[in-house]
Amino acid sequence: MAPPLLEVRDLRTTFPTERGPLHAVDGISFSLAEGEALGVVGESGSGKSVTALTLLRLFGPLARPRISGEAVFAGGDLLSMSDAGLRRVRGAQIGMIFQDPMTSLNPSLPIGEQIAEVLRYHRGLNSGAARRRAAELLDLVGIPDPRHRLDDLPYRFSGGMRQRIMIAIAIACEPRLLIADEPTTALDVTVQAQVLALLGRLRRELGMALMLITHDFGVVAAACDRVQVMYGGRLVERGTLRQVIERPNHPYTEALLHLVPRLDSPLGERTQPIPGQPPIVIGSSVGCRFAPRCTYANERCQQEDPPTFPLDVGHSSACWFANERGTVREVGE
Amino acid sequence: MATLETPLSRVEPRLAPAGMGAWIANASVYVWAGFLVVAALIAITGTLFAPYDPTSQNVIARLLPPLSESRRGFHWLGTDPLGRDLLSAILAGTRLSLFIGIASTGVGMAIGVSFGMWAGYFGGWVDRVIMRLSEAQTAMPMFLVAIFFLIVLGPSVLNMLIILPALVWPVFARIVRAETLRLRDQSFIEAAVAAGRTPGAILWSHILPNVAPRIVVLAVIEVGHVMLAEAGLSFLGVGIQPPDSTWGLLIARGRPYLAVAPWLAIMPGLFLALTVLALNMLSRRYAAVSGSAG
Amino acid sequence: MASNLALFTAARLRDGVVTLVLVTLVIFLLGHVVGNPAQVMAPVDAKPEDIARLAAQLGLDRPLPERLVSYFGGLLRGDFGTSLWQDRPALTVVLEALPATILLTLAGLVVAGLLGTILGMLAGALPDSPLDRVANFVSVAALSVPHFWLGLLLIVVFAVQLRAVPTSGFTSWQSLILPVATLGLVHGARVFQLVRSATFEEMTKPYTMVARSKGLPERIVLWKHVLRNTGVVIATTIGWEYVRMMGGAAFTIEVVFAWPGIGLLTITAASRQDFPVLQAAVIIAGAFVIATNLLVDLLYGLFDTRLRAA
Repeated sequence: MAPPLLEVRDLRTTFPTERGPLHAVDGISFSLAEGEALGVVGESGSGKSVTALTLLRLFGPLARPRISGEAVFAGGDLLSMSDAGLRRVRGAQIGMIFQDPMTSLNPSLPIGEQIAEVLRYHRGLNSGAARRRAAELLDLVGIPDPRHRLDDLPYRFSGGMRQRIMIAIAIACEPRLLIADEPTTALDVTVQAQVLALLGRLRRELGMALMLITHDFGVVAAACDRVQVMYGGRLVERGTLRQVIERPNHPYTEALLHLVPRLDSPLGERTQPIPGQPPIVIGSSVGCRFAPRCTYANERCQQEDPPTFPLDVGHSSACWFANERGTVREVGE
Repeated sequence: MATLETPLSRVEPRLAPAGMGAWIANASVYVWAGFLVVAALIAITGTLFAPYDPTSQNVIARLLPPLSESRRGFHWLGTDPLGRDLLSAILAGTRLSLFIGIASTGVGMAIGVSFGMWAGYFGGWVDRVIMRLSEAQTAMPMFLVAIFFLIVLGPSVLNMLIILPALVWPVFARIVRAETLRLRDQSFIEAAVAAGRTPGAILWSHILPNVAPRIVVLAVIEVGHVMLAEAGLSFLGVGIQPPDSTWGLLIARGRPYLAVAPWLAIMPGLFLALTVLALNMLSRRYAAVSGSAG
Repeated sequence: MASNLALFTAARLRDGVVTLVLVTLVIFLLGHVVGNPAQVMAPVDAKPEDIARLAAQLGLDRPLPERLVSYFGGLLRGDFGTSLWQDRPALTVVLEALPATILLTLAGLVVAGLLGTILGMLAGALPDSPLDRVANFVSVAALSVPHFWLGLLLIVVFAVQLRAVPTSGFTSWQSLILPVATLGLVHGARVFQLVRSATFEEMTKPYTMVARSKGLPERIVLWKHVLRNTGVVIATTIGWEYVRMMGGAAFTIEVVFAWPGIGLLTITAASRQDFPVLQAAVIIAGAFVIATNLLVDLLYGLFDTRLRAA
């Protein structure tokens, strides 16, 4: 078997706060193969976005987290790499698209320039060649009349189009991995589908791996091969798409799946949000982190942190009831 | 839920500040406040603490540098060309410097706050007139006009107390007007109006207490500005005249001796600089602390 | 769009003219109504009868409306009276001193702008760093000290002790160094504070993180991406700072450094009791400040409409 494209081991990201260390990512390990699409699912605060930001060390001037663990990408450890080395990876080997297209583009720079600068910086193209390539990329992502729109400022584009432009920027250098942090959350439902279709098409054409971060299982179902569910900075369940959707094991996964509106549910039935809030883990914690919101939790759950139990090939879950629940519950298509 | 999930937005508890930096910031507040207290004490007690009579001349001991001895005794800051002790002169100048600064700011504040409240509360032509006045004055080179004013009418403490508030009232008026506008539409004001209270009473007992914190912070800074302005005018010779003494005047008096006795001009300025710095640092610190809490 | 701009320009021009008229009126009131030019011009020990006689000679005993009209008429004609001390038209004397002031203040502005912008952007991008803390403190200090005192301090250190530069006057281009440094420090401090906070705010916006995710080095993120967005604020801040500079600091600095501009002229005229030159200097300086104010206002309006169209 080929070595994985990305191998993450015991990743931890901790922010110093006045009340104590905040464990945003608390020891997760996973891997991603070439060309594979991995969905990372969880509510806000589960640590999924911080995971992505940690891999590329994209924290801003104020946040200075402690990062530990390993993230080996194409032979090099992203977490211990020099700044210069990491800059060569960003944008060229790993591309990233962000959630809010309205604020992700520089409002004062023409979009053509925002694409071309990546090409000039990483591929050494001169400005003429970079401009031409930028127009090609805009065409690839479905922006009409690309050559005449290169000098337009972002405000002239709709949210969906801006997200496409972001995608064009991210794939400009044909990266091996694209990280997408909630790429469709800020978009209309119809546009969501278009963007997801675009991502899928680009994946196939460029042979790109995809790490798709979202809170919406519907999005995951449309775009991913494998899924992992995060809660409280930890991975609580992982498996192939079929395994996790058809036979969810962890109660949190089950709850998340219930949030996805279904065509065959009775008319008028509303999806219930999961009561409670995801935890902000400061300092040490005791017991399973989902226990306060879990309908099945017992005393053991509150006292002891469950380890990860394997259920099937590639499918595992961190719940004390894992083996009991494993083959019993069937959630239909 | 649809927010960019960055640590900046999630981490509500403030990131731990560097231990040393926080300690310095907190300790420095006491230093600055202490300095101001001492200055105020000196101003109030006058020349009580001065080692010598600031006007007593001793020509033999002229132009001594700081930390020198004369027959009279030890001169911390040296002497001027007539042998007068500089430290005593500086202490003597404290009272008038502080008085003019505080009094002028006080008058300017009274005018500015009143105008601001009227403009904000009544609106209409009152607002327009006051705002035009304030804008026109801000567009004018007020310092120049002040110089002209003092030259033509004669430099004196009284004239300073007339022209310096004029420099400062627009700042207060603008802020108070904005605050008043904001407060005017709130329900507790409506309730007071419905209860039949007069506008004056409402302004005094409802609006004024709410704008007071901002005014206090502003006043502290403006005292500094006014003191600098007074020093500038006195330095130019159009402000305070002898035998009165302020730090600005002392700087001017020391200026001709810059090459041989620089301390004469530098020391009084240092006292002024430290005073204004203390005022600025304290108000910045207060703004920083209260801003994040409220 | 164009007509909006024209309207805006016209309104600002009108405001500028109104302010100028206001200033000249205030000068008239202060100088001729509240004060007495004859008293200013008379010798210190003159008796009241002498002053009255002088006033009559100068035509100051005419009725007020007539004097007002002749005052404004004179201004419009360019007749600001004759300098007592130089026996030349007061306006000429003043206009000769104007270029020196413009040179000094523009040079000071350039230094202030560069210093404030460069340090401000670096500090805003590296909050709480040693650079930031030091620069911050220095900026507060620079705004707290009397600028003329700072000038004196620089003279003592650099001109007297180190003999590196001339102490005063306008003898060569080196004479510019100290006064420009003083102005640059004091006004650069405020520019610094504004640029720093604007830069810091931009750095917290998502697009900077996106720029970094593209692999761009920090210096490009700051000087290309952030500067594009803070540029307008910086330019207008510098513009306003020039107005502030002209409004006061520049003249005291001129006196400190014996720089032959309008500020020095004003004080000299006052000491020589030359009322016409004094009055002319204040009016011309005032007009210059108002004109600069107007210019900055218009430039800001221009940028603003362009931004709003965008």
